[in-house]
Amino acid sequence: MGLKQVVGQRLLEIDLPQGSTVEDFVAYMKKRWGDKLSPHFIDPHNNQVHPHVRIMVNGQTIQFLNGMQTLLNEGDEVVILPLVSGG
Amino acid sequence: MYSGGYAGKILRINLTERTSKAEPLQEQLARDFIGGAGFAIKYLFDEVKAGTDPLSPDNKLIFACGPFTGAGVPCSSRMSVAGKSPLTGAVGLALSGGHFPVEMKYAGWDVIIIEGKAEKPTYVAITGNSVRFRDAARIWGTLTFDCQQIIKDELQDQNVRVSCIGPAGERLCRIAGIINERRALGRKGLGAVMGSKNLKAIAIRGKESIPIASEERYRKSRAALLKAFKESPVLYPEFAQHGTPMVVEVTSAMGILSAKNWTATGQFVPEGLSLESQTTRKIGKEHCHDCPVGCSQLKMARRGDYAGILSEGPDFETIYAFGSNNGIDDIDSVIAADRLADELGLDSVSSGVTIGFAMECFEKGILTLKDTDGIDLRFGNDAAMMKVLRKMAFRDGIGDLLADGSLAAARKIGKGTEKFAIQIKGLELAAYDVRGAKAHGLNYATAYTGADHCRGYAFQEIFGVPVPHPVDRLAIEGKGKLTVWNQDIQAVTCDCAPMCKFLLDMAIPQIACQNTADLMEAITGLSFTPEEVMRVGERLTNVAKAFNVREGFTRADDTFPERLMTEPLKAGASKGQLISKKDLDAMLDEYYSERGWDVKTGMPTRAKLAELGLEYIADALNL
Repeated sequence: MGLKQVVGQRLLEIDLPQGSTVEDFVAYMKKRWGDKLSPHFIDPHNNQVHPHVRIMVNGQTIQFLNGMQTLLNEGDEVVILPLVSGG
Repeated sequence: MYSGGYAGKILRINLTERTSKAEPLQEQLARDFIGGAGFAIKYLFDEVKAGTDPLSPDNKLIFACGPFTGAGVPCSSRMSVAGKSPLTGAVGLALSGGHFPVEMKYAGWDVIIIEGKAEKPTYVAITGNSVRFRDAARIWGTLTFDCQQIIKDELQDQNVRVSCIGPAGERLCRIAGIINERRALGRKGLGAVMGSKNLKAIAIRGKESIPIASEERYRKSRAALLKAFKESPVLYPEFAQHGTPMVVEVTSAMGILSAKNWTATGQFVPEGLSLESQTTRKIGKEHCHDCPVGCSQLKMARRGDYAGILSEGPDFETIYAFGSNNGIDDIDSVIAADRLADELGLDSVSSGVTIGFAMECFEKGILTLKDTDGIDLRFGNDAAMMKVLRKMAFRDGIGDLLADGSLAAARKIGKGTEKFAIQIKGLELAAYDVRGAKAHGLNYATAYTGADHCRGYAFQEIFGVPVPHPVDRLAIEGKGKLTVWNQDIQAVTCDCAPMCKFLLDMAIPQIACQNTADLMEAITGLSFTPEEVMRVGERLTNVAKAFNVREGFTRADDTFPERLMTEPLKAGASKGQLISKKDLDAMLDEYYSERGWDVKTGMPTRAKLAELGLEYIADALNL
């Protein structure tokens, strides 16, 4: 939806330095797309990931891994899930 | 005594005798069950004996609203309809919105009980206290939208509201639903129950207003509700614009959008079912009565043979059932199938999933072109799906094989095809591949209606809502307790009060019980604490479970299709997940324990029933 339109595609392959975390991934996103990430991904009030957005690494929500300090390895899949609901 | 919210009357219609009578709504019933599904299931247990043939005159159809309906509470035009399900043999419960529920209250009725069987095709016209039995010979056979219009013309009232069946219900298809406006009481085959009674339609019109016990308290509670709606980051900004279809991509990203009869979840990428493809089909939206959200999308197919076909929908479940589950990645064909299912009076989920079952059988060579009347019933063939859908409603050829759902079809075909029937207790599974959402799965296994996402939806797992607490969708521990909480809170706040389920997870998860208690006191004058509100949900679930126990259901029926327990997901964000028998048993043990039921048998105990004031049910079950 909104974020996909900003990024331009549904799937994106990116390179990050070894030892990068989810926090580094978010920093990369901010650097690359800046203000366009508001309000879909970044809360404009505090420049943090919107509290309603879920980030998953390899299918698991980062809340149940190591949060924003979750380490990313080669081949990992990071999924950003917007706030949705329904039936 | 209640002093508002309720019409105070129950209408009993006997189709055999062509009589009707009014009974008072007792206060104790209101206190114990609040309304809606609570009333419907209580009457079902009390009045439909064990072993009743669901398609016999002894089954009943019970329409019930709650005290919020017609009282001006937003999103409360909801009705519950209960009967013994001809598809499952268990409690059959379906809910619908639109305008019929409110009209029922305006006509002066909290509950309408349909009994017996008319001698010939009949429809019932209810105007306030007047009940007329009208000849339905000329409309028997009509599709549901035409039927509604003809009745409005015949009664010379375009404002009358109609619930009716289509050809599927007339032919007793066990996956037939009841349609009101463009809404559906789709699931569990209640359309076949109506058809078995020779009842084509119920038309209703009323002009009464619903009294409110305390206007001042009501205004305050209503304001709190509307404030919560406004503060939701998803309700108006996203859900009101896109409706349920926005779930397609999220479930696909999570690897739980079921595909190709649950063989290709995680592998099927629904580009043609995406929100982008759908927004170009949107031509408007619809609101239920008293709903400020308006999530229903009016969509028109644009391409090929489907161009110009309009539907109110399709909603997410239908996109799964006719789309990804059948390997179809084209929104226009799903719009057309949605419209056709509504007009024929077929449940889109059960019919779509049953066709998916047949597609797998065809691809494996178990069904051949000879069996399918020459139809190439491979996954992805939308034209084939449309042909078979129509044939199901008319029990024509292959349609007759599939008209009673996937389990019945598998039993007729044999050859081991039961393992391809994705159902629990006979009800086809709703969307969400629960190998990747364990509590959502446990609800499917334990819900009293079968694999029903509307009983105990695990919004914590699917949408990440952290109420009552954050939940790891892949964990096993804690899922029994969570499922009990989900089932009971949804039973009371959504199905009894009633209120549209979408508000629970999107706007009011933290305040639902308090808000329900506040509104109950304000509208009816009856006091409830939030704990007592939850207790009503627990009571309803126990009565429903008791009905099923009396019909012979045991712990063995609280299970999953073999595929979910033995075949791990092959791709996507939930790759490798399944729900093993060991995990199922662990979740069931926790669930039954949390319910206060016998862990070994899964049955309610006398102690628990007594605690809920249901000793007479314990006696009936010989506990």
